[in-house]
Amino acid sequence: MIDPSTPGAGASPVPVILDGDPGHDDAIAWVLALAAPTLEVLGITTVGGNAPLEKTTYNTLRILTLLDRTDVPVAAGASRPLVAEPIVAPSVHGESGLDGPELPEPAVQAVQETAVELMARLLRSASRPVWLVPTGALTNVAALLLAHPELHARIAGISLMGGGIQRGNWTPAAEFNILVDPEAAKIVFESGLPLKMAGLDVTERAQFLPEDFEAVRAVGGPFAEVVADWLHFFYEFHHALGYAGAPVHDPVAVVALIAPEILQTQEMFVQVETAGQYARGATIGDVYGSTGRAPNAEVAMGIDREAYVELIVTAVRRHSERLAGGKR
Amino acid sequence: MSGPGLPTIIDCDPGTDDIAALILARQVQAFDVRAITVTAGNTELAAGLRNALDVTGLLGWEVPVAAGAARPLARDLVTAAEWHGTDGKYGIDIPRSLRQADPRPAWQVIWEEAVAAGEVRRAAVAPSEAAPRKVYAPADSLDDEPAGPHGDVGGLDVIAVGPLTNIATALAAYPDLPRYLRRIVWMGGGVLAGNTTPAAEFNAYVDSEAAERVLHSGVPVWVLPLDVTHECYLTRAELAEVAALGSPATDLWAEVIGRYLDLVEHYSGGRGAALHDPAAVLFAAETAAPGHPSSFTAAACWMGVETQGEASRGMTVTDRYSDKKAAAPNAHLVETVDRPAFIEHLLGLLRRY
Repeated sequence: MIDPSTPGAGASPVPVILDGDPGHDDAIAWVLALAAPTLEVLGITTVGGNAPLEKTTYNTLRILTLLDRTDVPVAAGASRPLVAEPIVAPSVHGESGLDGPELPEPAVQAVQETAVELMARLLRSASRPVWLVPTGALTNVAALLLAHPELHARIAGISLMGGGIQRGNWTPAAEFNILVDPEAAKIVFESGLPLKMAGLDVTERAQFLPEDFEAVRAVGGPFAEVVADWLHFFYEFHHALGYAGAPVHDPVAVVALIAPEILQTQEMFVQVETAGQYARGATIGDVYGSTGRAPNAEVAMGIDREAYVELIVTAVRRHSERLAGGKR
Repeated sequence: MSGPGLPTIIDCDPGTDDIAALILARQVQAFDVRAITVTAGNTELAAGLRNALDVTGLLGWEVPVAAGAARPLARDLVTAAEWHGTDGKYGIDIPRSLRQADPRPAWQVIWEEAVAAGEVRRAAVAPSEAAPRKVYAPADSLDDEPAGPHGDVGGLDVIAVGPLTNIATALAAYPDLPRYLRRIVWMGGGVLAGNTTPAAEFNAYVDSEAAERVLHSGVPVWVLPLDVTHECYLTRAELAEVAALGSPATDLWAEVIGRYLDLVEHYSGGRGAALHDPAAVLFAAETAAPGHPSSFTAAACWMGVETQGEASRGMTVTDRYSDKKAAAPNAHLVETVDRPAFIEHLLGLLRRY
């Protein structure tokens, strides 16, 4: 079993720390998390990946300003992977890392603490164990696990977007987030902490079709316009690759905490390959049980796509109403 | 036994499902099986050779049987005795044949049959009607007969259902071999996952270097990974149909697969016995000639075999599902099977006994 304290079981919101490299789909993941009544977002940490660290941090602050949620502390994290050379993905997300609609300039700055310091402080002060939700390379999370073994018990689990049992995207074997820092991913997968993995097996099915962007836009108001435009930007990149829709990867890691019932999952022993001429960065799942090893991850393999779209439309509506009403 | 069919060599490591595959191959009219070559894999070489000789003896099949590699190119041999028994036949009694192995090693047999098949084929086609010279470009359609890498269309098919050590050795020993091979059909690999390790299917695991060598040889390789062979399963009810046929060949087939079913049922989700090696034989049969209806679909893609990874050694890596596509596909990935049509084909072959 993964974790009996999976969100939804208790009455009070589950504390989470978000970690990512926004990125259009990170932004939408955070929109979803910040709208969820069952989650309490304690803080956000950033990592380089979809764009360099300065840009992902700047984008994070712009997103929170747009959402009028600058009360959430933001800390900049690792500017480079643990061991590997950096890789960035400007082709997917544009030069800014979050191209498309115009966004407000940040109304606040990042905190002075590092990502690991902020995460450690939030873990120590939280009333109960915290879920980490990384949607970029796993460098910050691995650094936290390495630097603070005493805080592992304060972590309820890690719900991540990354990897793919069947396939990769950036290389034939490797998904981008894992490929950027395979050594960090190995540390996370071998941590013994409860893991929920939303990899390409599920996120490639979590597609938004053009009519779905319009459902977002139909919520009305400037915020819904921005989210619809993000989706449209992301769609255009993928449409050129032959996709029917935009695979909106990162929010699935949030869905695993707020609406696990719309996912099909499989408990599995997953290893991260850090070597190899083809397979570096692959997440290898023991699908057929050949190792006899106990599962270390709950891997999402399928999703109710329409319910997924509805979750995001609902989140956009909640934010839009709050922003229109001037209340938090 | 030379007939009108397509010159074919079956390279195997019998091995229980290899035995089942050989029994089926004997009845495929589309094949002219020129030789059976044996490699170490499921069993040690000597046991596999014994089984190939005894099974062909039981079938009255005067096909040459040649011994090949006793160990992988660059690794120690790993066998699958836990799935096949150390004798490769669960101790099932197969009458001892007086047949002798061909004195030539497997790779020499492959080369000589390839050259012979190439010459036969060229002689049969008038120069003006010869296949146009073209650069090899795998097509998505099974109807497209693959051309060779050098613009030739080789005349020999190799159906390989074990580790690819013999084929890789032949490629190393006879550099001109690719131009004489029409295609290689290989049961091996797994895209979603492996069965020997989480990353690696048995045949790709046992000799990863050989598999990598063969995939990049320039010969069109049609790969049947676990993803599709797990769908080529036989139920207990269908096994009973085979058992009721009542000939020595089908009795052996039913006994071997029955024992195998007891061990492997869970791999097909409890639905039946995944017929890995028979799937390769039936695929090759259905696609031997262009335009023939097939139970299978395939797609061209790049594929490589990981030879250096820690957790991933022996993994068949393909770009079929990733965003980054190789400029030049080198393989055809067999992806789906119409199981009822597959089973009907299989039972039809066995009813011939």
